[in-house]
Amino acid sequence: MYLNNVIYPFLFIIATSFTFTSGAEIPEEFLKSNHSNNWAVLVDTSRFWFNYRHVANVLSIYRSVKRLGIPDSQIILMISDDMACNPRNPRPATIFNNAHEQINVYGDDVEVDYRGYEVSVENFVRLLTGRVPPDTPRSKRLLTDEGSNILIYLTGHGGDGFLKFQDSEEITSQELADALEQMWQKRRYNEIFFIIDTCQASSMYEKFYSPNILATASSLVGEDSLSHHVDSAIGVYIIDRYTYYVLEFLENVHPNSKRSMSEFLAVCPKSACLSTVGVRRDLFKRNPDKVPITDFFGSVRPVIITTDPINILDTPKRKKKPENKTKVPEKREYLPQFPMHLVQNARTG
Amino acid sequence: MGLLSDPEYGSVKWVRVLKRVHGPLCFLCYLGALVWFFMLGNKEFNNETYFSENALLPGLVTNEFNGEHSAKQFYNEFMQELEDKYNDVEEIPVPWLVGKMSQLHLEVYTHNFTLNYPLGQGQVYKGTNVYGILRAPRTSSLEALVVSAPFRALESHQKGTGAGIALMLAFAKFARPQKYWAKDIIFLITEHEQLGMQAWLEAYHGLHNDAETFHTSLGSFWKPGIPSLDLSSFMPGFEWAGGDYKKCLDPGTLKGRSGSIQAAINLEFDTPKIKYIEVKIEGLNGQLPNLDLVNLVHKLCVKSGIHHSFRNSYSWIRGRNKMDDWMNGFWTMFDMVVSQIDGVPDGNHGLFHRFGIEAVTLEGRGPADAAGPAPRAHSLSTANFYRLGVALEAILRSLNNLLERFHQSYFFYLLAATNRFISIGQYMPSLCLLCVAMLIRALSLWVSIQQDGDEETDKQDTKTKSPKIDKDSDSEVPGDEKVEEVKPRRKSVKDDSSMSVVNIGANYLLVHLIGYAVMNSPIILSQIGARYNKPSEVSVYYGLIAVSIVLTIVTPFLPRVLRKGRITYEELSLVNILLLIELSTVCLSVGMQNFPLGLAIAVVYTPLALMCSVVVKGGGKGRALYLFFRRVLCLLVHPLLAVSLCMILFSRVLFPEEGILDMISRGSDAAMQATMFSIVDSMIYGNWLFNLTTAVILPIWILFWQILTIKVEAP
Repeated sequence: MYLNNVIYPFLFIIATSFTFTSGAEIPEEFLKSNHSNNWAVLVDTSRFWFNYRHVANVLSIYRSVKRLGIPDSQIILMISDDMACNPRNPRPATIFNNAHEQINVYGDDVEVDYRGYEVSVENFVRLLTGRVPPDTPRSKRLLTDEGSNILIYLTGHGGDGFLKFQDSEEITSQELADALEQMWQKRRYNEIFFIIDTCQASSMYEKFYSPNILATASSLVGEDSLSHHVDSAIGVYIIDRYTYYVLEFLENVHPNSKRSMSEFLAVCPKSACLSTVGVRRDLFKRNPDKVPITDFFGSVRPVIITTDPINILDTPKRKKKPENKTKVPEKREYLPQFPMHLVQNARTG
Repeated sequence: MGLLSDPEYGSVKWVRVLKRVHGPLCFLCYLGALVWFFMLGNKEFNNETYFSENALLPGLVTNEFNGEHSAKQFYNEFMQELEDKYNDVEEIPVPWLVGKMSQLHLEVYTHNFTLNYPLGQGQVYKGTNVYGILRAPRTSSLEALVVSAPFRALESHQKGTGAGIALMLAFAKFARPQKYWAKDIIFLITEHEQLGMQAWLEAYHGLHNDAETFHTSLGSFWKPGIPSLDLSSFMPGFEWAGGDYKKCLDPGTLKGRSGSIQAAINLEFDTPKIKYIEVKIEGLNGQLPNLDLVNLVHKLCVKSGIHHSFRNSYSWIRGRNKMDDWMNGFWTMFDMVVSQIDGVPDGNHGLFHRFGIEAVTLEGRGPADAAGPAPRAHSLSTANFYRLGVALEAILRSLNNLLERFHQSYFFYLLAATNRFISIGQYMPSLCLLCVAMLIRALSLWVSIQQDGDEETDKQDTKTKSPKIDKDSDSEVPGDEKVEEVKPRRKSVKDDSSMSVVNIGANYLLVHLIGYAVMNSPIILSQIGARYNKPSEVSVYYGLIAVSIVLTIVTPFLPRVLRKGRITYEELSLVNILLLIELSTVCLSVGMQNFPLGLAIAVVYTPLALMCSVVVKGGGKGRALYLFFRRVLCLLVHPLLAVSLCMILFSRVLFPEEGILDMISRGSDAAMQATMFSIVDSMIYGNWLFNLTTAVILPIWILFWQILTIKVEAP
């Protein structure tokens, strides 16, 4: 029996997508997903105090995906400027996404993985394609595999066919499309949900040609994405319209809710956004009506619930393999910290 | 396209057309320039102002200013203090200001400066500025904003600034505990009007008084001690005041500094009960603050509910029809142009501009202001400290958001209203048309002397038909003669048609050297005057008049001194061409920096330049009359005479009831003052007007005069 219910405190979870057994039933309203893990890449590409709203945008999404269950280790957060500590901020160490200032999206536990000048086109493309320098820490790597569903959210200042990074460089839509194709060929994703909130945002996904990508944008080519309102206590435009309504929607989504992706795609009608939200469905194989929103925003994986007790004290017996027995355990030793043999050779030679 | 030196081109079509139409064409250009300038006031020809700088975020933040009560208190206390202790002396109340600023927990410093008056008997003036720095709480002191107010004594003939100082202190009190400042704020009170401000700015930017002159003190690699031209070696026994290259203004040193100044707001409020704010922008040498700052101030005045104006454009007056708007726009623009010609800043903000700091002055005006009555000003609601404070807060919080210096918007513009502007691309054509008229005239002169030359050579060697040989003989023969002529310095001239470029060049150079000498003469003149106990303004003014008269009489004979024998038609024509080119270049290059000055020079001198031509001997009565007219016109536009005449006319306008003699004496007094001011401004602040007039315009005038007074044989 399948349930998406997590009310019962004692559940025995076997978390894998490949364990659909013959007894499994798919709820009729949703399609089966193949993904085994969820990742999120959230990027704010613009700096400067007057772009406060972009930081608020990206932190709003961060807050939502984190609340819906993607752990910090699987969220790559790129923020170009430190608004919370900007000397102009009359509310130090906070970032709000609403003039009522009820939700401090900066929160207590924001883990910014790429910050300041680290947010560059090169780092972004390297992150996506996995071609990072070998000494890159795990927190700055997108360690996805062929079972990963990735949410990519970009915000900043864009134009027709490009997205500006930090007033100094830009990524073109073709470069982005090629990067995603590389990801596909390197089997770095199962499905991607691509959201972009910039001016003329839809131009960024028009060049995509890799499979399994669902893309949405806050505005069509030729349109501007507008900010939602001003917080006159802080003195800045505090959030963009599209993300404002996205956040409003996501705040009512819970890990067990049955909202579908098509609801998300219709979240900001033109009357609210003042720009037309663009959607690209042709690369995506599933019907968005039947894809739960938690496939991308949450970390909810297929769950098998069993009512039969399992005795966990009784450790399952493993098959004893004869070859393991005979095998001599590998001898481990520390590597020398300094390659002394080279020096000795040099001295003798 | 043929070369201009190609002998064949005399027959080319455009040359013939040019010769026929250049007169009307030049006239059309001149007319076109004036019409273009007139049209700029129309809405179709100018643009609405807009913000280019994203970072300003004007007026987004809620105003929290709550210092109305303390402002009133400061105002009353300040007035009381002045009446009690400073009623008779023109001194800045340093202890009171320092005390108040210290109570507000600002970093308070005083700054002393000295002026050694450059002319006359060496008077020394001293002054003190007081300033307090509010350090930005959460960042390093790398950038700063300035809020300044000039101090004016009670008995000063100008409007007081007590309310401005009180407002500044109240704002400092309000701003001190706020935690959002990203730049330091310097609260500055200066003494002696612009002098104090200039001294403070120089001291702030580390300039000292041992730099050569003010003109070279910014960005110069000249260091004191490097040997340069020592004038005293030419005339031993005469003490040269300028010999030791000390600047007359000793800015002293500052005890406390902040970072690089991004913008400055200067406050001139007499009383809090003003009707409207006049936003003053014109700076030294016609420099203007970035248009973004001007827009910002106007916009935030609107938002704070304060009426504001710029010259003839009043925010509460809206034109009834298009014609009204046009006239209003034109007069606003014209007023701005006229006031910028002299390059004197109309407030303390004007001195900031040359240091790359954008600054404006906010002047509070009542219904019956000295600057002239504003329409319907009586019916306006009266402002108070609260509204002024809110406006100041909004402006400074917006400036606080700046990330870079102002650079996005225009630096060269004219304003046709508080919210309409004319960019450099729109107003330059009018100046360019004037210069084009002069250049067309120069081209047509060049074409005609070339062709005359061709005709002569044709007559001389009629045998040679080939144009190539013709050209060779044309270029070689006079060249050879010239070399012969110059090297042995023969006194007689063999060939009348030959041109001595060296001769003309020597004359040209000498005239410019005379101009340079006149530029440096005021110090000598004032010293000579001081020997006879004359005030320096009298000695300088009458000295300059004497110099002008001498030059007017002597310079027509200058070419003869340099050359034995008659000067030829071609030579003088060449001078005329060079002169036209020089004048148009000067107008354009000056106009790039200070458009009103360039335009004024061009408008005044273009008619003369177009009418001026080489005078040929003989001719009928009509010709003589025309010549007389041209000479009178030339005399009238002599720089000194023009200034005096303008002042006389101006005094006629101001005091129409006076008689002719009174008018002349008042006008010449005013001209004397104006001359003196321009000289002193040039020495202290680095105003160009005097230097430009004497070193460039005067030589040009002399050359015109030479051309009009020397009669030559017809070619």
